Amino acid sequence: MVAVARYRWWLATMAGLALVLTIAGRVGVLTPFHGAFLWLASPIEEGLRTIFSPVAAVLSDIGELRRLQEENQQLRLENESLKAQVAELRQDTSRLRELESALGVVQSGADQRLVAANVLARDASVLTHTVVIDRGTADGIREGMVVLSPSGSLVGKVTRALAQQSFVRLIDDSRSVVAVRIQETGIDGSLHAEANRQLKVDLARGEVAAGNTVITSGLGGEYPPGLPVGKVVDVSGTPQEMFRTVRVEPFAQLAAVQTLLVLTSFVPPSLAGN
Amino acid sequence: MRIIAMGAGVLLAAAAQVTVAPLFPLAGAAAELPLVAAALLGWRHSVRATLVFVPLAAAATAAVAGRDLGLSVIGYAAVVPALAIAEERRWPFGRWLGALAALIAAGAWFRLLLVAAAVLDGASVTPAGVLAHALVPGAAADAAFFAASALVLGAIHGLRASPLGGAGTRQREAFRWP
Repeated sequence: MVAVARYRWWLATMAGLALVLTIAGRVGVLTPFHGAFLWLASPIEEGLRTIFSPVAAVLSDIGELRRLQEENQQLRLENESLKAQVAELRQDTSRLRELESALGVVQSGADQRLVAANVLARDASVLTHTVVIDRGTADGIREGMVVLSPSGSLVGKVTRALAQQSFVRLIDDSRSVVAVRIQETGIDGSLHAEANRQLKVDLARGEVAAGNTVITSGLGGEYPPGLPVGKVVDVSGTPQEMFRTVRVEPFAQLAAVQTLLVLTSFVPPSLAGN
Repeated sequence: MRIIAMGAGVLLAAAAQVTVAPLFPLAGAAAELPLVAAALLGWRHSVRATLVFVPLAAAATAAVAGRDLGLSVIGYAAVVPALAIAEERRWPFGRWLGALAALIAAGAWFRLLLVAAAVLDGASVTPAGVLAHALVPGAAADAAFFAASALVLGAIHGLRASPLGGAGTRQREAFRWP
C-alpha cells in the first residue's frame, strides 16, 4: 500500500477536479468547449468508424451465419405477405382519399416536421445507450424532442442539444421509460430496458400475446401517441397475474442505426415553455 | 513532442470508445478503451506516465459520449492506485498480468459508479443483472482488448520492455513480456 500512499495527492486532486467539472458541467460553463471538442473529434471518429466497421461486420456475419440464413428465409416469407398487404392497403388508401375528398377532411399528419441526422458516435456502456447526432440547436433541435428511425419507429429522445450536435438517449437505455399501448387490445403499460438492453413492458391486467404491436400511448405527454415501438416476442404469466413479463423487440435496429429522424414538430408539454 | 503524443493518444482513446468499442460488444457489454489504454501505458512505461493521461482521457471520453465529467474522472482515477498496487507485487507471468488485474479492478469500480448513477437517474436493475450483463462481460471485453493490444505492442517492441517510461532496468526486467 506504500505505492497508493505515494499517489494520495493525485487522488485528492482528481476528487477536486471531478467536483469542479461536475459543477461547471451543470452550470453550463463548458458548453462552448464541449461543442468545439466534438467538432475536433468527429474526423477521428469518422476515420476509426471507416476502418473498423467492415471488420466488425465480417466478424459479426461469421458468428451469425446460421441465424442470418434462418432470418433471410423468414424475411422472404414476410416479404411475400407484406406485398399482399401493400396491395390491399393501396386499395384502401385510394378509397380513403375518395372519402376524405368527399367529406373535406384535411390530413392530420401534414404538419409533422422531421430533421434527418447521422449518428456520429455511440456510447453503449453499462445500462446506458446514447448516440451523438450531427444536428443541433442550429437545426431547430431541442431537448425532449422525439427521435425516430427512417421507417418511423421510435428510437429515443434528445437529452442534450448543442449548437451543431445533439445527444440522444435510446429506448434500450435503462434510464428510458416510455408510456406504451398494445395496439390490438388497447392495454396501457410502460416500456423500459433491463440490464441486458432487452425491452420489457409492465402492463396493467389484460390480454396480450406474442406478435402484438407496441405503440406509444401518449400518456404523460413525453411522446406523441401512435408511434410504432416494437413487437411482443414473449409473454410469461396469465392475464390474471398482477405482474407479467412482456418482452418486446424494437422495430428499429437500435444497435446499428446510422440515420435518424428528429420530430421537431413535437416538444413535450413539460419542456415547451423552456 | 510528448505533449503532442499525449494529446493524440487521448483523442484517439476517446474517439475509439464511441466508435470502435460499440462495434465489438461481448454479451452486450462494450470495453472501456481509455481504461485499457491507461493499463497498457502503466504496463509498458510506468504508473507515473498515466497520471496525466487518465484525467484527460476521462474528460475527453465524457465529452464525446455525453457522460458526466466528474463521474468519468472519479471512475477512471481508480486505475492509477490499482496499477500502483499491482506494481508492488510479483506476478507469475510478468508485469502484464498485474496491469490486467488493475484494469479489471478499475473497470469494475467504474462500471459500478455508472450503475449507481443510472439507478439514481431512474434505471431499475437487479444486482444479478448488473453482474451478469455489465460487470462480468465488461471485464471480459476489457481483458480481450488488453490482450489483443498487448500482443500487438509486444510484437512491435520485439518482446522488449520500452525504455521510454523512465522505469529502471530491474523494473523493466520484471515487467518483461513473457
